[in-house]
Amino acid sequence: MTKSEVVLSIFELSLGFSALENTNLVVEKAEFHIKKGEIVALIGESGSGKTLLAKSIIRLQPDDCQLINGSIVMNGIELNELSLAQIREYRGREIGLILQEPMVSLNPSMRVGEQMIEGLLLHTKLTKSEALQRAKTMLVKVGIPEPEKRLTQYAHELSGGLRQRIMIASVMLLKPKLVIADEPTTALDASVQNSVMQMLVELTSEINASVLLITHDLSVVADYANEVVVIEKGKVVEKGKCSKVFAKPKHPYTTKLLEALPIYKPKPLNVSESAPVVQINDVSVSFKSKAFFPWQESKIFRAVKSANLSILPGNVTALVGESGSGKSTLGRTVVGLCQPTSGSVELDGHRLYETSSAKRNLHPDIVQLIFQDPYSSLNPKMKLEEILYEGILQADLSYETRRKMAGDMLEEVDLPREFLKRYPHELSGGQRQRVCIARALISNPKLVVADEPVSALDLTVQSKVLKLLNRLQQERQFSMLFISHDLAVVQQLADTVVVMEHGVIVEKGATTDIFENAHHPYTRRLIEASPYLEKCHITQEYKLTTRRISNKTPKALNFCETLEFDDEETVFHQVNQHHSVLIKAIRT
Amino acid sequence: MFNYILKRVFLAIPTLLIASLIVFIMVRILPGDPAALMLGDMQDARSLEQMRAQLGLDKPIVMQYLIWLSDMLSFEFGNSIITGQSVSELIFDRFFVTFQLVMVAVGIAIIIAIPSGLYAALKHNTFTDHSIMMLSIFLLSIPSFWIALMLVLVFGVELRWLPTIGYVALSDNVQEAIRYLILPVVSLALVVIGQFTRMMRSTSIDILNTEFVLNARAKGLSEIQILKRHIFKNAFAPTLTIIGMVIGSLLGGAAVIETLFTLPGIGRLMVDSLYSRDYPVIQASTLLMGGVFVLVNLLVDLLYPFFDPRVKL
Amino acid sequence: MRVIVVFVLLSLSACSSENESIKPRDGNSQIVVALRNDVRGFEPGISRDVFTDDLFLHIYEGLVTYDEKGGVIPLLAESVNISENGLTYEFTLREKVVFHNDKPLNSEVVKKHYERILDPDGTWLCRSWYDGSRGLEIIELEAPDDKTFVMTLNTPDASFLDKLANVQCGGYIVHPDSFDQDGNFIEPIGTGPYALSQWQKGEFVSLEAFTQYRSSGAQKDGLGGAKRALVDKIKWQIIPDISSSIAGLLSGQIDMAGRLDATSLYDVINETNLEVHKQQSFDWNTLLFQTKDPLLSDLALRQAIASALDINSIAQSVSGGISKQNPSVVSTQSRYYSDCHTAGYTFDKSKAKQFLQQSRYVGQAISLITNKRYNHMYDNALLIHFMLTQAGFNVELEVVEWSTQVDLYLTGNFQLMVFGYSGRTDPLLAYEAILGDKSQHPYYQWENDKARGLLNQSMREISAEQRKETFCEVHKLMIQDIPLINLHNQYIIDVTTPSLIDYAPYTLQTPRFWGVKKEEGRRQ
Repeated sequence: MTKSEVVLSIFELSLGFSALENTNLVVEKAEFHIKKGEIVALIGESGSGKTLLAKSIIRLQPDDCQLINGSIVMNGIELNELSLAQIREYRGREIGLILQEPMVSLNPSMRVGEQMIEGLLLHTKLTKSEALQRAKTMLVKVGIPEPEKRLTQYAHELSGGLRQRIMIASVMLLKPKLVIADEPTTALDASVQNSVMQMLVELTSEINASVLLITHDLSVVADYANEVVVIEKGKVVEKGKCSKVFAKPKHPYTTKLLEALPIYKPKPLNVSESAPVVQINDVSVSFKSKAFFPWQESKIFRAVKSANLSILPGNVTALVGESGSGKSTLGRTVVGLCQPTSGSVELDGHRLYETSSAKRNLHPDIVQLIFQDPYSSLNPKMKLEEILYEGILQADLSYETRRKMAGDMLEEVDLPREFLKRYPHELSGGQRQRVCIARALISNPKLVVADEPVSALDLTVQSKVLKLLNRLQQERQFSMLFISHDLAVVQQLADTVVVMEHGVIVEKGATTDIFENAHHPYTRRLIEASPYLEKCHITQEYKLTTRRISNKTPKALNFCETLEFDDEETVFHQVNQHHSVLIKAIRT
Repeated sequence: MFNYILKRVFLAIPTLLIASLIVFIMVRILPGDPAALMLGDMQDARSLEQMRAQLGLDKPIVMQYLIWLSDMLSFEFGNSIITGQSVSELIFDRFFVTFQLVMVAVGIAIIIAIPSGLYAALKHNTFTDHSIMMLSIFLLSIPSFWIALMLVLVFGVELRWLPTIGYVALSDNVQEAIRYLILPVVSLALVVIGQFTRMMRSTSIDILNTEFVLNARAKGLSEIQILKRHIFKNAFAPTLTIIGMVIGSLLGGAAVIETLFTLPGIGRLMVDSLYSRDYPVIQASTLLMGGVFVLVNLLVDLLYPFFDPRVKL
Repeated sequence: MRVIVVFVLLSLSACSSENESIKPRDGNSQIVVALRNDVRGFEPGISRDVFTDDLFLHIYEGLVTYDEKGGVIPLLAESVNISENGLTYEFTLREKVVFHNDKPLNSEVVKKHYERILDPDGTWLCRSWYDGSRGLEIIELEAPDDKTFVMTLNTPDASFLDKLANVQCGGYIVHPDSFDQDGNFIEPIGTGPYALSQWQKGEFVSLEAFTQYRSSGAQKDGLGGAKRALVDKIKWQIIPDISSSIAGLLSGQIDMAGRLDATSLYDVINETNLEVHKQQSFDWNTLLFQTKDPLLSDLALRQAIASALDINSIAQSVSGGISKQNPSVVSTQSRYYSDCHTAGYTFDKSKAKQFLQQSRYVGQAISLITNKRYNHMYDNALLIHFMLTQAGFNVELEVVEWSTQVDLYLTGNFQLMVFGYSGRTDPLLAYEAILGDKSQHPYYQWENDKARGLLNQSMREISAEQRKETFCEVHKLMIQDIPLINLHNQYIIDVTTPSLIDYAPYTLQTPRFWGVKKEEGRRQ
């Protein structure tokens, strides 16, 4: 077998929803080929039809989505002509499918082991115990600790990364010739994305299987794919060798995708001597689940542990960490929504949480919040004007003034004034997030807390909204606490970066210091997982770069890797005036 | 687990206490005096007084409640003021009849409704699905007493295949007992089938659209295998809650069927005792029904993790 | 001391006929009867309702009972001798009567029985009739010999024997072995033609023929006379729902359903497979006025209402043609009923208008209370409401639960109420149910001193003819006063399958299954 042997060919494939006219094809005349052992990446924005296209190979697209035209040929066999029963023979055995969401792609009521061996039992003549043995071997091979135990566990007992590894392992058990991986790492935390992808690539190359990788993450593509197929609104607009396409994109859509990637342009640290807008001293937040019976112990979950943080006026501070790191809790504490267990929060001269009245902790004139999900954070029953009027705090304004203020604000976030009369459902996700921003800024707050404001948006929309936020911040000079799990998103926006892990701030410093001289291993992992784009000004070629930080860490620093401590004191190493890193925790 | 059960039982105590207090006050607020009802138009002031004293109704209402409560705590349910029978005995016998009726009916309903709900979901938006749904909505919307009357007319009066009057205990004669139970069980089950089928169908449709079902399809599993292995357990969990609630409410609310088929059940007892203002019986049976409801729901909750391991007790 | 012999048993020959248990009894013949609700127990006169009474009448017997027309006849007594002053009642007991436990009837047993039910600490429903609280008191019980039992009263009371026979009070002779040492009731031991065989609570009550039963006469006569048990078992099956009962009759699962209401009559009348028995009873339906009500205390208004009602039509349509108008509390079936009781109110629209103008009524709302438990009351109320509205009254129909209505009746808290009284065989007792001091007992309907006097007089009259006249006088007074408007006697509708032979309804409503046979296969 030669390497150039084609495993799967797709010719002039068109898919459409039966209810729609032919002109509204979701996939139109797509054509590409996957060679043996190759990784072909299918990229495009959400809604571009890439997932439908991939699923249609094993006829798993939704019922109402029909194949209009074209053919799918695998090893010389026309898959479209097979009966459903014959296609089932291909599913799993010849073509494996890895889904995006490991949280929902495993059956919650079935033990992991049983799910893993389902395919084996179906397609091979193995007995149940033999199949389980194979599953175990596979888990050992992919380096999952305690494989025996995993087999008897349920999906909810495992972390997302582990689940995705198990998903991949169970697909690979059958040694398929082609693996369709639909955004296999998108839903995972940044620090594990790499290793999961690594594992997928290793396993497939071992059995010389081809991979059809569907993703919107260009860094993954750049790192792993041989070929790339760019798809826009159901049409293949560009395809070719990955390096070539990325270096010199021919189609404007490809360029657009590439330019949506964060560009690394660190800002100089804006050191002002004025008093900080918000000052957080030694703040800890614990959640207590109250015991029912007196003899039971109440469970305490410490979400934030002795955090110190201050934000200067006009300064953008990024708060970065994985889900569950306590970053959102800290953000809510700043806004006045979450009472800390200890420590103090001073917001523009006001000491928060001094009274028991929940309302007195809120200072909407000083601080505003932008939420992650633009779909659920706007009341669907209210017109935009009503939403915006709510944000205007002065009570004595005339309707005309209010209307003008709201209209001006909309224009400032690049939405037409006419949108005032619209309802949220009439807007796209990006437009809604603009409305959220407008609502937050209309009262001219000194501080904006933005909790993952772009992570629910498509990559190209993300960059636009980020640019808008950046521009508004420059113009209005408000301070901002920008909460994100993605370092790449914050690098062009933030003056300072604060990294949190397991409720503890592990490193903070000026953006340049963090990106170029990160000390803490966790920060480094995060940075390495976030690629950025470089454009060579001479050749006009793009270069996608993932940062590798040279090991300049002083040997004297012993990093506390496991942060499962409770009543311990944190010790920081001061790298420079603004850059400090957690080195260890001393038990008091 | 043990702590959980303890906690639930503990929490049920104030619920039942409040329920008992409400019932106690309500039946006494109701106009109508059991003593007067017993005497009918034969009464005169003296015998009425005498009767009230004999029934303990002459004491202040607070005293009556406290007496009843302390009796209750020592599991003394007292005697019916109408027939003088021991309330606990009366209720236990009656409850068993209803329990048997409801459990068999619900059991049959589950056996029929679960597969048909699953099947309808699988054939979502086809003729089969629509027919199953039409039928179950029909069953849901016609009152059970109407079904019961039709069954009596057809199988009892016209065809004379089955008895429509009376009750034979299983312990007496199994074959006869079954013959007597068929019609009431069927009339109860039919309505419940509609309810369960609808629930099972809608949860199954939700499950059918999940990623793990897609994943199962991608493994090459056939639809039937997917139904059996992946959908049933997940879709059954929410249905289980409905089943629990239906059992709970039928145990107290099968009075109409019990009356039509002359079954000596607890629902009929409650209605009868309400009409005759038989306070001890009303109070004890309401309390029992409350307890049973709590118990059934506890059982459902204990069973739940088996179908949905995500739920921890 | 002169003694008037009031009752002597005529048919001594029948009494001596040894073998009561004539054919055909094959050991497993059974009549199945629909019972609306479970019996309330088996101790007579403690907790009762009409259905419980039905069973008592098959199990127990009293010294005296009612004949076909509600008159009093001896049953366990052979004869009753009443002293001239009306104070001493001497009962001679019948020979060879045995209880279900094979023990003989003697005067000692009867004396013990009366001592027990008259015990001031006891709970007998009707004790107030005999303990002096309403005047009459039994001051002495004697058993001079085995067959003679004597009761002595403090005052003569013409209705005394009728009271003894009263069905609701359940003054039957219960054998002392029915009670344990502490006086708690354990099992029913009577002298009736049937004995309790099985009581499956909530399901059925089964009675079996008492083979040693001896009738007191040759002919079936009310609740006395010939009472032969011709089937081995009677099973009272509890069937709360009337339509279930009818279905049971049609499918042959039961043989008899009694006390149907007129609405159900239309369900069964066309069924060729069923036999419908109709009869008028002693119970009477009435429209009560609260004469203490500021509005209704106006006689002219009551007269207007009385004239506005076409009572004959009401009676006809409510009873399905069985009952006719009866303005009297005396039943049309009673031996005391005579032409004078037909005098009542006539339907006259113009007279109604006239009266209305005389009255103080200016269109105020008048409430009319009824219930849906008893269809005949509801139907009466509907028609009355309709007729009064037609005649220009502003009447509001208020349907309440039966228990509530009883409460309102007892407290007198109503304006108009459609009510039903259970039948009193002695008109004296019927009048006593309505005549009395409202300020003392609000459940009385009528206050009239003259009538009170007449009734007191009738209490001392023994002669039936004399009493008849007194009751006529009282009736006239009642019609003048209009404290209430009697509508019609309650109807009885009993339905049987053709396999039940010789069944006849009884004016006191109770179905009687002695002398009734069952022949299988007579169904078409």
